[in-house]
Amino acid sequence: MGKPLLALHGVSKRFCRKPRLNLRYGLQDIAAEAMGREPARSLRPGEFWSLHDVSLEVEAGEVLGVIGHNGAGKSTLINIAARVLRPSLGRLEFFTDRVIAMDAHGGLSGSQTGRENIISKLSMHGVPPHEIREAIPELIAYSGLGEFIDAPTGTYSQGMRLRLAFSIYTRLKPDLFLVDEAIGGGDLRFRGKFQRFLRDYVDGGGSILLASHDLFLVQTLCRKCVLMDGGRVIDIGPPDRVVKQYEEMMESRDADQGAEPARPRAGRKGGQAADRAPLSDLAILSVDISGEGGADLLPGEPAVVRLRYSAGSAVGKVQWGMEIGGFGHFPLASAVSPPEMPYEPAAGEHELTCRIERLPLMPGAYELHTAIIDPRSGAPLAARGYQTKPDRFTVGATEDATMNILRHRQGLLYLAFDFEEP
Amino acid sequence: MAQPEPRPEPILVISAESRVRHPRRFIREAITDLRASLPIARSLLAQRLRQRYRQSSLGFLWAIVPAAFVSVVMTIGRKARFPLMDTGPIPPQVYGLYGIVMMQSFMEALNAERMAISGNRQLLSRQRVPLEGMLLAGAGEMLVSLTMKLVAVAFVCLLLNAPPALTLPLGLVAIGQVAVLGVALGMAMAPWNAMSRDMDHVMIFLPWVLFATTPIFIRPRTGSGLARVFALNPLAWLLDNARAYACTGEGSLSLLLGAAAALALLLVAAWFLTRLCLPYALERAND
Repeated sequence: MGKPLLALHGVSKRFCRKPRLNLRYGLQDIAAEAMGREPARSLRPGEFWSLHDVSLEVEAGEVLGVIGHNGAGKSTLINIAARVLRPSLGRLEFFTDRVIAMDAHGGLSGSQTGRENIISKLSMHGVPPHEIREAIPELIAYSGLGEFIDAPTGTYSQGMRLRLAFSIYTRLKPDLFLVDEAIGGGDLRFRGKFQRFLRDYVDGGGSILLASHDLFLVQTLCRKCVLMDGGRVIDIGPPDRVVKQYEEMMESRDADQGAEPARPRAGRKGGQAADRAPLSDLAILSVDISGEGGADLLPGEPAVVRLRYSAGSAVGKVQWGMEIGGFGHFPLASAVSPPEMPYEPAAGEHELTCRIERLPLMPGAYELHTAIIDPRSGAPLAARGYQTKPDRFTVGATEDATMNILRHRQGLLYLAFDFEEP
Repeated sequence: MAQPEPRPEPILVISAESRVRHPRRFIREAITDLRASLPIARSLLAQRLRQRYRQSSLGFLWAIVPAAFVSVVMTIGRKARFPLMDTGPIPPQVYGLYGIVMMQSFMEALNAERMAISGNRQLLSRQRVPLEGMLLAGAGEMLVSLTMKLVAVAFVCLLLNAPPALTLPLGLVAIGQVAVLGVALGMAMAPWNAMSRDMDHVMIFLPWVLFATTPIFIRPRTGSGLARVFALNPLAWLLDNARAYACTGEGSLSLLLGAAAALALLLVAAWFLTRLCLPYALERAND
């Protein structure tokens, strides 16, 4: 067992939904605290548990992911761990004082300029003034903000704010990083940089309590994951198991509500800002999908995806993957080369090939997004279609009665069955 | 067999238990935060001073505009022999000037501290930042502004040939007491200001109430109704004592010392109260 950094024991936090009661309860709580009374263990009318009886521990070198739908209690957990909120019940034990929280705003003050934020954030964490003066040029260069550094951060895009915050935090080197949906608004290039930073930080012995909806990030970074719902811990365990449970929980909830599963629409890429600058030395030159021997794509027939890319220099091991979208759904399907089969591209132009034995797509127009990723951090090294125009392809139709009926009924997938003799 | 490593002791425990049950820990944490807040306060103060005058036409001159305006008005009033301008042995311009400078500083201190939580809520609710940084920066901002105003007062006194009394240093202490009262009251109001809109309404009429119950420009005749009202107002005592020490040397030492002791207590009480209320104010802040 590693050295503990943070332990929560039966921590609960209640909030009030009704503004009218909110003030009254606040005054009651202040009076109770001033008189040294025991905290109330039950809810008052209009209150709910945002966290309920949560016990968990973050150890040195561990990344603990926290997942759950909106309102599950993830942000409250992070805010309590960041000591912004006090628990209503239970207790927290800190075994380090080097804990830094980073949220989607980067923890910056919008009325201050970037430079002023650097000074106040570093001062806040005890960096002496002369070290701050020395660090400023380096931080400005690292953030890539250039002349924007003297503009108020309230005028920055979310990606710019996060780049600045991220530059500041790299200087602070905390023992425990509390990350709350911090990179949701960053562009692809920033996300890659941030993921690599987190990976390097963890490999260097750092720890993270990571609350996120980004299941890919959670599965890539974490060895342990917490599933929360209604303020309670539903499960703690390996990410693959916990994420699967989360997906099942969400699907079951959607089914109970009689709603269509919430899926991102085609063309929407998580609100990322356009950034077509290269992410690394790698560049995807072209992507082609066709039937075997260059034939047309047909449902249930073999298909081959060819990705041509160039590498400015040898970049070490990479994986590659693709996502296919169409009919208002993205992604409909995805594939990533297995981690045990990493490619190690040398400098120059290369081609990667992937064969789909039986194309499961119905006739129609589709778009293809491809990426080459760093297997260590999951950060994209090159991407095509996510922030640039996606490659499009068409699947043709065959004269098949079953397929015709399925098309008429707007079926999305073609299952190439092999029916066996009775 | 190797013994498992003993679990280390936590360096900090945060619990739901009332903090007043452990007064020593509460005070120790307050002092630790106060120490940690000094660099933040310094950096915030520098930024606030830049921001405050960055987008204003007169820049730092705004700090002395009200005082200059009052001097002009009092001079005109004196020449016109305005009947209410009984300021005793102190020239009316100087009397009014000190009055407006002290009241302006009192209100600036009160407002800066009152806004310490609500004005920094976005930062305080995302990061654990010592509130003392904001409180000290607010007090520092008022102090800079007060210093500039006192320079303006010295300039006007020179123009009017009204030299200060030898007890001027005690007068400056008494002026500081007025500002400290503003700091303490503002600090005590900060949590309520963050939790409720009431304070916005109170602040609309509070300056008028203070104007009516405090000798800012005029000194009421002894025994008059207004004098009896002023006598009930501790702020009026402080203002009169400061002016007396600065201009005539006839201040009250017992009042000065008594006020110093009372203000020290009030300041510490307001600080502890604000710390106690902070988490509740943040989670229930009225946006």
